[in-house]
Amino acid sequence: MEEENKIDQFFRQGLDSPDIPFKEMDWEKMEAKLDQQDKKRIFPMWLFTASGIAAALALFAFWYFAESRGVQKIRKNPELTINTPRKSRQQPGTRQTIEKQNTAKPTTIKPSLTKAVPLLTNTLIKETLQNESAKNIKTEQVQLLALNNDSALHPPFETAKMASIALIDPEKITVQELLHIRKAIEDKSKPGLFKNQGLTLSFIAAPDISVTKMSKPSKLSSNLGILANYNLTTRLSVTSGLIYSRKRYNYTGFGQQNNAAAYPWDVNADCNVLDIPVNVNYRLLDHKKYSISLNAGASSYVMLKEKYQFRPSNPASTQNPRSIEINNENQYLFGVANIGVSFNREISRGLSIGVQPFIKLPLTGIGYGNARLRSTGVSFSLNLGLFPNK
Amino acid sequence: MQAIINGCIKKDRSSQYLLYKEFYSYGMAICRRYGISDFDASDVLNNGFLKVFNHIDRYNSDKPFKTWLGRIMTNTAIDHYRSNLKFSNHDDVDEYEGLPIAPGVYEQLAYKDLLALINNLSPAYRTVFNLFAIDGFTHEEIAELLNISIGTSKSNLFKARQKLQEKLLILGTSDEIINKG
Repeated sequence: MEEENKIDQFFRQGLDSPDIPFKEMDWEKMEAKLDQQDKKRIFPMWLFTASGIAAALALFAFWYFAESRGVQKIRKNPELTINTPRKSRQQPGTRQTIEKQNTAKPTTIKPSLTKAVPLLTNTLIKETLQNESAKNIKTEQVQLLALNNDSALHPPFETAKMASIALIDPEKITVQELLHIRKAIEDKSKPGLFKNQGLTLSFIAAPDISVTKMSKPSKLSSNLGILANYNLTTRLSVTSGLIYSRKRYNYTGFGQQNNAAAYPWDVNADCNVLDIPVNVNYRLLDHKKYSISLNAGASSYVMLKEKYQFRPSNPASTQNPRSIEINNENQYLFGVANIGVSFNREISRGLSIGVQPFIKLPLTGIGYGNARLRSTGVSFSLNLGLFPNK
Repeated sequence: MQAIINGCIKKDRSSQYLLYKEFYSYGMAICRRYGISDFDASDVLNNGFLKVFNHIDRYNSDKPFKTWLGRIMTNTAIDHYRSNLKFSNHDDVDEYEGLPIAPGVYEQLAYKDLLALINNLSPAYRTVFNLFAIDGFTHEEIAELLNISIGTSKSNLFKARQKLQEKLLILGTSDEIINKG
């Protein structure tokens, strides 16, 4: 230590404690700064809460519509039983009257038609097997086909299989064919949103909050990606794809640069990550228009760009804030576990929307400082059914 | 004082006001002598106070609060100037014998004059001089804080002192002339 220098001493005495008059205006600016900061702090939490509420609303809407559909079905069932025998009594060739009825009461008859077909075939086959009266079959067949023909005229119920039934020559139809038709119709009306979709392509957008053990409230992270879902069985499916995500988190660590090792640092991380998930989904509930699945699996993280800002935990520290940037250096094979529940709702044939609350748990430390990064978020997806199965 | 600090920990606005008012002059003085213009000074001061308020729970009451706050202000002021700080590498200066200065010259210099002298130094010299001579940092700490070598720190301090001394001599001479006249 050098001896006290006179110039140093002189300036210290002269400059150390001047009397600078207090300006109330500066405090007002300070107050504004404090208020602004409070707002900023609330912001990410507010956004997160908002997305949570949005997800909850989506879920509620999902349930609401699903429920009201269920109610409608039950209400329409009695009409169905009334309508069906009346219709079956009508003679073939009286399509005009049926059409009239259809236009007059479209809401009741249309659904009843779809139901009528399997019902009819059911009774038909029973009768056939019991008394094997060929004549009887034929007349009933004609009635059935007339019905089908009729239904084929109405676009909402014009499905390929129904139309194909209508094309069958009534003279040549056999019991086995009838059984086959019945099976086809049953398959068709069997519930299942993804039943006929082997491969589903999903476009997802997901906000999440990523935190470590010692975190201050962190900024919102974002994920964008494309996923492919393949059905293994009616209940089980696998999902994989690519998700580009920007993870923003913070942690307290120890600097590893120069001689600063002993001092704690606050680290702000901003990383661009390629998330490659492999998940298995189990369909818990599977209705015609919606489904609920449990998802579990693991993600590999490929760190594209990692930016870390180090600030000394104690602001009075002499240490200098630093930042480092790492490009394409770290990969973590299945470093993160995925758990989620997904709710999907069909909006049109082959197209559905999904909401998936998820959590990503660390299996290994991620990035510089090996942060145990945990992400919680909600993923919104648009799912496109590709290459339907037969 | 401790009561005010406790109030600040609880984010009580009136305690924050009292603390701000108490250390306003002290903090402002630091900003000014690190070469921050009057125009920017209140901004830098407020940034410093924001750190003080946000981290006041980390203040260790064993040490004087003023020192803690002073360090935060110093760091904030340096942050503000960081982009302008260019430290040229000089040879190590191990010893420096100050020129003898006649007593009596300096008493006539007011705070404003001294501030002007300091602010006329280049940012690099000024910062090191401030840190070492006035704020009591060691060369090791300065080197760490500014990301420079200890040698550069010593060299800059030497150059800063030399420049200040030259200016003081000019002022002293002119003062003598005024006094005589």
